[in-house]
Amino acid sequence: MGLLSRSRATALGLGLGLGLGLGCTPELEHDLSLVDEPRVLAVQSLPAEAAPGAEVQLRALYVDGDGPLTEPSLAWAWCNARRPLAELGPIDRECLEASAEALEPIGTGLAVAATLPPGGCRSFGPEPPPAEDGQPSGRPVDPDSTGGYDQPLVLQAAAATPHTTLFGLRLSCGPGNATQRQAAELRRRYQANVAPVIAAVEAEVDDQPARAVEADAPLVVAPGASVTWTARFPACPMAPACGDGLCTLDEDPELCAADCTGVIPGCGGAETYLWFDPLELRLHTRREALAVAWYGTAGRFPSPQTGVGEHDAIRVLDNEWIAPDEPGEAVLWLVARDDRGGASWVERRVLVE
Amino acid sequence: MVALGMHPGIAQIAQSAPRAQPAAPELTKAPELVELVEAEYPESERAEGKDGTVTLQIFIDASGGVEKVEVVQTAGAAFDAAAVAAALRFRFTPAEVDGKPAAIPILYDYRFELAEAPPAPVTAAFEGVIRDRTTGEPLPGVTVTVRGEDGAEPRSVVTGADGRFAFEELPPGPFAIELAGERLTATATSEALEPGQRLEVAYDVSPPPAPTPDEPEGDDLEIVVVAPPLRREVVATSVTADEARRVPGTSGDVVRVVESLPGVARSAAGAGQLVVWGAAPQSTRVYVDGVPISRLYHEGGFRSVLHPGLVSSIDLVPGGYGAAFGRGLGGLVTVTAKTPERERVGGRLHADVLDASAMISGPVGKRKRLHLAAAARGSYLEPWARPLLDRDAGGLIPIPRYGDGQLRAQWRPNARDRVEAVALVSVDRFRRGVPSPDPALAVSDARQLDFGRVYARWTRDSGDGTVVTVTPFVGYDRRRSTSRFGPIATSLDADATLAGVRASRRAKLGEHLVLETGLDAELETTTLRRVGSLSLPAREGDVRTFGQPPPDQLAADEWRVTEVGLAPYAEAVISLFEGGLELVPGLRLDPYARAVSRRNPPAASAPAVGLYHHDFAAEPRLAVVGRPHERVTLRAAAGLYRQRPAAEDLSAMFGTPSLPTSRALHTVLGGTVRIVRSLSLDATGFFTRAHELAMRSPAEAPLPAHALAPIGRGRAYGLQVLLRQELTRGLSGWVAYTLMRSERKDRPDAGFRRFDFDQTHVLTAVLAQRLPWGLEASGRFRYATGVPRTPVEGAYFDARRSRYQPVFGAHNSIRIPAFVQLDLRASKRFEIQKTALEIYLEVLNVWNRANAEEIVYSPDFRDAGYIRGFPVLPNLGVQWDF
Repeated sequence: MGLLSRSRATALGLGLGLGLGLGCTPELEHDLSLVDEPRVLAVQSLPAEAAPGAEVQLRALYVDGDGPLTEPSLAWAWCNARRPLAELGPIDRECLEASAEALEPIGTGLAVAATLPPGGCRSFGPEPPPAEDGQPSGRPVDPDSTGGYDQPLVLQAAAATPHTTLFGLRLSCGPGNATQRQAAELRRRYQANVAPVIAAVEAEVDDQPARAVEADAPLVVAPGASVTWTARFPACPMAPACGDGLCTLDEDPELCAADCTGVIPGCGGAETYLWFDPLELRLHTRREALAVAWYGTAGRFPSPQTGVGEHDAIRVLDNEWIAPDEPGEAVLWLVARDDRGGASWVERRVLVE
Repeated sequence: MVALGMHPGIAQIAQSAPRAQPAAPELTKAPELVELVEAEYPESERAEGKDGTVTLQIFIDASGGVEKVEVVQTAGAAFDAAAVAAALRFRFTPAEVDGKPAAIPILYDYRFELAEAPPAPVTAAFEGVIRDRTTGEPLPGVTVTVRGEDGAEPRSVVTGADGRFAFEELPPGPFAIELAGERLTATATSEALEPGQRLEVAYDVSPPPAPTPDEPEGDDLEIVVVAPPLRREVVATSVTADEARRVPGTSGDVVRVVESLPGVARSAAGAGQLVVWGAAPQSTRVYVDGVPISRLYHEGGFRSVLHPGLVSSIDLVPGGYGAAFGRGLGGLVTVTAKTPERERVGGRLHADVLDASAMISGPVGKRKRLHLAAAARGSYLEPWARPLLDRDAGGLIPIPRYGDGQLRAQWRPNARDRVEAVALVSVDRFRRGVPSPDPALAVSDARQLDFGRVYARWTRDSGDGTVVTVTPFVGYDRRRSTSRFGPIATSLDADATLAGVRASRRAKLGEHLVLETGLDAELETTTLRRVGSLSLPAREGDVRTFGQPPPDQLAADEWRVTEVGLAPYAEAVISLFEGGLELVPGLRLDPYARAVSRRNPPAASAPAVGLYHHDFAAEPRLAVVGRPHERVTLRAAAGLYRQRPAAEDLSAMFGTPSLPTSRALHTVLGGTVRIVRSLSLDATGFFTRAHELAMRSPAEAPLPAHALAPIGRGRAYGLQVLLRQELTRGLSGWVAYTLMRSERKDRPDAGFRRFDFDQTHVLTAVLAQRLPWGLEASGRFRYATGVPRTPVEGAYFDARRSRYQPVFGAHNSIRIPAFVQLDLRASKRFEIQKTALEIYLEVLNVWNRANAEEIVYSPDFRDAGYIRGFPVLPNLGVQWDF
């Protein structure tokens, strides 16, 4: 089940009981994996997590039915408006207006370099907003499910459908509601997010042995062929050990000094990181979840998105793709995301003949 | 042979009024015999040419059935046995006490005659006796006046030394009866005569209090039998269990009739929410015998939480109710339960496609003063339905599991006292899940909803119009709710224990004054634990789409709320102009205190600081009932109401611990015209206004522990019309139409918008007809305007979460299409010796209309469609009463 049927599943699964399930749900056929018009498929920030005021490189995967768009008119802007508590979407709706005052333009094009606004942790993070009119400080923002906070970023592309794309750049802000000791512990041991990397792509065509598919060598398949694509991620250390580059809670910083001092390198797979549990109010070690969104200019992915949870040990994600019945070239994009907001993608081509 | 008239034997009214807080047992509607079973003339007596009259005392239950029969005056063993056997199979219209169904004993003369039937008479006779209720002595000097509907002069007689009176050659039909004396409260009741009938009644009255030495002696009398009907709830719809059982869609579950009553908006299929006069579902309080319960229906709304065999009647008061109740801004549903008083052990077994239930009751001991009853119900839908579904569908389709049970004991130590002890429990389980190749897209949902109550209820009817009721109770509510939208896991656990007492004393203080005083006390402690997004569960007014994942910002909190409400109240009934005008002023004082375990959001660096909050409110209520004509009743009411915030809203992280109580004003104006004896038309206009409703804070950064703000306002206004045919010749039903507008204002500087549950038109027509041979047919037609929704006018791509997000239009500016449905029910009753077997077939949505229940969007929000309700849905059930 993928994006095609996700809304149906959600509606059925989370709606109140409709006649013991005898009610029916409309089939709203929209294959979101098929790219047949200009669309922004992904946004990447390097680094994937940065502190307010830091320099970041931003780029977008902007494509249409013929492949990547090379001269798009993408307008980038920070959204500096904090989402009201009553707003249930991920962003203040004011920032969806192209001329909104809350938007801070940062450039145009497929990629831009920008400096994160300095007040991100106060506007979108755990630091209380400034007190006003003699009142106490306001409520800080709640962390996401990975304990992180995002600086909203808006892309406007007049030719794309939809015109507006939202991205959240993970801020390095530290935890909210933690003691100073916990905050210090987290700063020392926390490993900033590194965008996931698809290290290898393999294809298995009609039960033939899997083989690697490189960016510069199209895969050739017959019309209507069934192809199982596999995206491989780098292996990241799971069990804490000295020298693994992770300064986990059960490692003594004195004994594993190499892990706990200097720049912790990170990993392009499912990383292990520290998380401040807002209920138990203490630090925990956990792993990232990974997902791959599959797109193509032709053919069909029955499941447009596959993933692994934080408790899964596997580091490969696969998916079936049905080649189109007509000969031609198809461009596929595999967009990898981790649940801390990191993203990357690879492109592969398929000749159907 | 002929069967003679009945005399309502008011000396012992077996069932108090069906309000949760009992009123004085005053007969306002005598039972009518609707199914006469002719007794077999004993052959031995026929052979000897004997005839005779057997006087029976028939105990009629609240539904009109005969519970037991005793011989008061014998005519010989053979006649007695034949008369008792016939009378046990009689069926009556339910008697009403204070305008509500109740059990009642009557005296009945069964005459056995060999003579040929006389020519059809054209007149009738009415006679009876006025007796001292306490001593049974006849009372002389009471003026009895009858007024027919033919416009003829009223006729009066004065009871003689034997307390008797008699009228001969009265025109058949309904007529009013007035009892008066020099110092007698003017009272009235009504009877109906059939041609040739000689109606004999016995009115038992209480003597005046013994005169004190300072008072002159007099002949003051207090009529407790036929006191003016007291109807403190200006707008209320009462349905007997027997009437409700026959409504299609209830599947015999009588409490579900509430959804077919006027003023009630149609709830989404399977939701089971009560939206009364535009109030939020949680604002309508539900009571069983005066004890508050947390929910009326099991999950999914398919069944109520009370076994129908132990329900006597259901009352819906959509607004403007009296001072005895409070703590809710919306309506009031009171269920009067019963412990069947039977001569022997009996019960009921029931089964249909959803569940099976059993109920058993019977007397204990020779004197039969103690009666016990037990009932249990369990669903079995999941075991047989789950295997029919494929694996994916099994994850999608919610199949509720539920059960409930009741234990009841009733003891009548003497004629005045009644003590009941009751335990009831309800259990719900509910789980579903939508798997996905990406755990981030997997969805799951599970709920556990349990509650239990144990209460005792002591009622003393002193016989002089004074009734005292005390109902202490304890109970628990347990709720577990977990939902997961991919990585966004939310949970809410709430464990509440509560205790309380309702006590009332109603007494007649003079000719024109009845006063009820009481206390409504509740203590509740709730421990809550919540993890997840602020937006799940959704609140009224949230702008969202159906099934929309919540924001992935998470919070957590654990807190405890202790609340105490101690509300004394007083309500008077001032009867003027011989019952032509009633003023019912009431006052409820509601001091309220609350302790919340933490007022500051959880933080590792800060300990919890508790909060104590209290306030006081005086809630005046006033109702006026006028009867300018014997067929016309005009009513008006106004009152202030208050509702404490939900414990879930008092979190320092998810809500606001210092939320004040919400307030509301109800105003009601209406009237009833009794077109004929069994057909009435009721119209009621209403306007309610609420303020200090808890809404999400509109601020970007509200103060900590202020996620909710008491800034909401609400108003609802409309008109409800009820045309009701009471059971006559087997026909009963009603047409209820409500024209309504309900609105909310989210913040002071915003305009009013449509309430999430607003429905402009709600029409429900119910018709049931008893047919020969034990057949019964009924139908229900419903039309309801669709509820408002906020349109999606566009979308943007959320590259962080790899999903599209909706862009909304004006808040609640569109509606789901109207709901139209016809349901039919047919049943056949088989008499098997002394038991009855009923088989029924209920067909819902007969014409298979694809009613829209919700709007659903494609993942990119380009296209929209409707989730449709169930198609034609038959339900076959069987019920055996033994």
